[in-house]
Amino acid sequence: MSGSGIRSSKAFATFVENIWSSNPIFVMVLGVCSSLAVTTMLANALVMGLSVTFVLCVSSLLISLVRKLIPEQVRLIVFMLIISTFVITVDLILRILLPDVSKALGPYIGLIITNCNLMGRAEAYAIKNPPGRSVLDSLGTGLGYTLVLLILGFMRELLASGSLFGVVLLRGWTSWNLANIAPGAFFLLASVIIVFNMLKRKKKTAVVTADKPRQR
Amino acid sequence: MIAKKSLSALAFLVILTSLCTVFLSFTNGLYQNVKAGRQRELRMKIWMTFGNQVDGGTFDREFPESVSVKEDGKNSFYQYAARDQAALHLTGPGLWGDIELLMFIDYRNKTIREMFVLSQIETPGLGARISEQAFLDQFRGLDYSGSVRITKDRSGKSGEVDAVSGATKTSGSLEAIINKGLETFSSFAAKEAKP
Repeated sequence: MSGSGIRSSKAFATFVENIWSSNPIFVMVLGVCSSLAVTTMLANALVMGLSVTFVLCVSSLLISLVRKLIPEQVRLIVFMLIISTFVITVDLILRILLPDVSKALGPYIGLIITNCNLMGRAEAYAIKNPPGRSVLDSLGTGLGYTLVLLILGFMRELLASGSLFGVVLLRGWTSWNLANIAPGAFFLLASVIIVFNMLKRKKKTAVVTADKPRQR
Repeated sequence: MIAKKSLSALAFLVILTSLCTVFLSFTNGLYQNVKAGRQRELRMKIWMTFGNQVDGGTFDREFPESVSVKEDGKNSFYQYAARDQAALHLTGPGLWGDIELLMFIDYRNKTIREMFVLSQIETPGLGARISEQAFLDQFRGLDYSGSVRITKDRSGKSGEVDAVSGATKTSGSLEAIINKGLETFSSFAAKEAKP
């Protein structure tokens, strides 16, 4: 009981770490292309984030389940095959269920295949770890990615059209078109990363002063 | 020894690829079913824009009786002779993928009545703005007796529309799709008029 407790708490620590202190976009700056492209609307950002999370979890689960069968020299091709199969599936499912969002996201759903986070999690974690922990690891990465997309989508939609999820909140808002186009996305992402790093540094110094004897 | 290892890797890949292919064919089958249902919805939309009421009971008989449908590659042409109207369902390559248009014309007066973008995957914020109503409204009542031009500097001739700024390629593709569709429709109509 206590053994499994420790193991699950370790897995849980990875999960939290992937959302926060090694967040795929803030810290590793991976998958930035799609995060800038689809965040003009909050709804699109949410669907994109959830799609990436879904593909991450399912492909990690599958890779982790068959990790002992995968021949080492072709493992990257195997990752690619599994990931692209699920990405195409997600693309088709979105076309069936949410045709409008699917149109708005355009080629970016298909381009999840080239999102470095997917290959990254497969190669760095899923190939070496059991299914449960791999899924938790991927879920953390996916949620971390979604979190950043939502922050950016929230800011961009609010600034560019004064609305959230397509519902106009600020009447008479002067549209700040810069937020809608690519340069604005770069500025906003950079500002968010600055704020994040400031928060992180503050937290670290607080931890250091509180836990001095425990330092290695 | 190495050969045996490579062979087993190859076998693994072949099996995995086949599994993935089977899985994707199945999902694609589902999607094609849904798409066929949307085909009927498209016909209803065309029927209503022609100025008719859709009656669920008689629609499937009425539509083929009064509208002649012609196909040319990916494009379909719905001619409604009773009111000199036609609907052109056009698909052509854009910058990233196919652009799918639904265009209503009055072929006696050679004007475009209305234009819809049914699907496109152009660059969000740039080319994708061809779906915006403000852009599409420019086509209402547009004279196409010459050819339609989507341009960034209008010379004042008829058949000109303002392009989307920052989306030269998409605007060019759209122009090509529209003109090719109109040409094909005219050639169909001319053939029909002769005998």
